[in-house]
Amino acid sequence: MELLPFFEWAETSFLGYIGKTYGGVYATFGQSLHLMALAVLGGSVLVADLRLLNVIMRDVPSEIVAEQAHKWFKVALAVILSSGVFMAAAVAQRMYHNDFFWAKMSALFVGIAFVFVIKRPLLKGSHADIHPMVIKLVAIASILVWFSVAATGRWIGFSG
Amino acid sequence: MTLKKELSTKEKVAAVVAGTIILSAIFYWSFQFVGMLEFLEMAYG
Repeated sequence: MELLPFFEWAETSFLGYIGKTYGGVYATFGQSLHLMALAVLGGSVLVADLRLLNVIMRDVPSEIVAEQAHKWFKVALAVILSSGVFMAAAVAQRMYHNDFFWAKMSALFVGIAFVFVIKRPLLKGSHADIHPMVIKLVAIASILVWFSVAATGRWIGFSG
Repeated sequence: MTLKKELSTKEKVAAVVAGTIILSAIFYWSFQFVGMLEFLEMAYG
């Protein structure tokens, strides 16, 4: 399926027009919100996964930490996706030809699928019933996949 | 935590997917790092 026409349309859409024309709106509702939400998402991932690895907050049950962190993860993800669509619309054609944009989208897709299909269903309920090695593998994979999302995302800014 | 001999299906799937992600990330970032080293060598010798 050829996606270029969609990206061309996105750049001429209302969102693309606003982002392209008004730098202030792009900087505030786009980049600032996106980066702050990325910080919240990164924080929630690190808090939950470092607790699962028994590195931090050992005096709090990992079930509670994972549950609380996941609530903020969902909020941050919603903000990241909406501000990301707005930002990408303004430079859609440039994004289409940028390898790191596609690397980020792939990592983001894997990250979201991993959280909602694998990690959350596994960690619901008592963590004492799960093999410790599996918990640690899942935590390391989670940190790596979200690190990759952040790193490839920043790389977009330094390429093309 | 209790150590179990048999992993449940959910645990097995999680372990395989997590392992695949870890290996893919190591491969991808190693590839990028080697690419960067080659680029630096071309640029600065």
